[in-house]
Amino acid sequence: MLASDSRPSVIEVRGLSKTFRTRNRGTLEALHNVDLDVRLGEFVCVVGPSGCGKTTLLNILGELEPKSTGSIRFTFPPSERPLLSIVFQEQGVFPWLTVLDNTAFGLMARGVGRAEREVRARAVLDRVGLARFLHAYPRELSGGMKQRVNLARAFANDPDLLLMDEPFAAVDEHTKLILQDGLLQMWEGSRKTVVFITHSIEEAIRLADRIVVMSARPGRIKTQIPVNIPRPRNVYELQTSPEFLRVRSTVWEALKEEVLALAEREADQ
Amino acid sequence: MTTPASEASGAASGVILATSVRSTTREERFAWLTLERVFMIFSPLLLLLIWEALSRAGVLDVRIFSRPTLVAVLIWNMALDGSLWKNTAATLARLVIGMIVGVVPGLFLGLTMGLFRVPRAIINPLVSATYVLPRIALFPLVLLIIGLNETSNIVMIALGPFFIMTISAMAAVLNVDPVYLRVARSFKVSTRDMYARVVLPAAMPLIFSGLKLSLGLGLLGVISVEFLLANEGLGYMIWHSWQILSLGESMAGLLVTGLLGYLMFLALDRLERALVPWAGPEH
Repeated sequence: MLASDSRPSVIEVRGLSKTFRTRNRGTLEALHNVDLDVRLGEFVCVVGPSGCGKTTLLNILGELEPKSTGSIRFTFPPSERPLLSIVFQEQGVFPWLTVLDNTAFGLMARGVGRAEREVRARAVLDRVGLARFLHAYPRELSGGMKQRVNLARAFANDPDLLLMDEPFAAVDEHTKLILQDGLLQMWEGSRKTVVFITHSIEEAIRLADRIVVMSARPGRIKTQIPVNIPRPRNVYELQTSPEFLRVRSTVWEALKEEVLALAEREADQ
Repeated sequence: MTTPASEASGAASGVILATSVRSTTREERFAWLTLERVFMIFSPLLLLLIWEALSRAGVLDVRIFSRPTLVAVLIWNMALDGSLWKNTAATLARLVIGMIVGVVPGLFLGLTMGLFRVPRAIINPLVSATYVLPRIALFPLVLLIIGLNETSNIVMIALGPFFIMTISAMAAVLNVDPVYLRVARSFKVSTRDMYARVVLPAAMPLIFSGLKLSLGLGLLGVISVEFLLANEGLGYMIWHSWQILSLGESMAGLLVTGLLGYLMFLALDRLERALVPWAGPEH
């Protein structure tokens, strides 16, 4: 299936490695020789055991951390858009800004005028169902609502690429479904390229076109599994479909070894 | 002095809470607010009542401790003859000027030290070394350098707030949650926006804590220098009355000082709510 995809590749990661220096002058290899291609408009989920370097990979893609070796090429078609926005976990919403100002933050940073950025932020907030809370502060919102502000902020910035670092990890299971549904609806409207980090196999299947499974540390790409569930998807009904179950067992087979390897390593320490 | 004031700040944040979007716990929060409001008045009143009762029962010697009703009459008389206003105005003026002279440079120094590593490395040892000195011990030195005048008094008052603001503004900047900086960097904000729109607002709550501590120290400073070297002001009133064994007046000075501090604390609280409207109560 992947081979027949005619969309151009827009992210090309080749031989990417990352080594951290530890406090006692040792080294820790977080990523080892990672090769990854992402196509235009593709939704890719990266899953892996904890500490496998998924977040490091995302931070390097987002230029928040330097890489050690290897190369990353972004080949998006030329446009006025910013390259990327990152969605962090819940606490990434600024408590001192209202919902509207939080959402418009990326536009503000790019120097978009107040009137225009408010129009654009309002439009996105409308879509995530926060139109009634434009002038509320994050303190007044629930965890799920804060996370919607986080999503809105990234979408309002209108980048070529969205990087998401376990954005729904801190919310309960039911809220998670609602947020996933909201994310998919927004994504359907824009078909942006997404790299989404998660530790939840189910979340990855509901969202992704392709799941990238990483090995335990040092993180390598172990296998890649396409998810051939037609879109638009109904996240509330998906878990009983045969394709969902098939992909879940395939991903789990790949992940199981890594999780067990990690558990063994931790038991040895 | 701090107890009723911090209760008041609790009640104040309760007001913001009551307007919260989520209404499920609204009644619960409203009840809490009422409780705070009631005790804000009731607790100090109860203390005065006990004082009055003990004094009338003969447990407290009225010649030493006076009693609230007698002190109230004294304050009334001082208000009529104008000495109350004169002394209060003198203390208030010193406090306000001393606070400004201490807080403003302290705030800027602390922010600079928080933001930039080199000034922090250079100045931090000096702050640590001088901060621990009891400031009143510096008074003779200050008098020697500046002279026996009002400027010396102001400098003495300003020292406490200056150090507290330096230290707390620096700590406020250094303790900004790194996730906010990562978010801001991911949106490629300019350095100026990073400071003005992220670091500074994130540091505001801790800066206000420093400001409240500064007010307490400023008040301590005013009363201290007025004990030592002044011929008007509430500190002078307390100390002078004590020296001529006019203990009721000394008590009156104490009560007015307490009230003054309390009102200034409330004013600061108002200012905080206006400048940091997004901050909720402590969780």
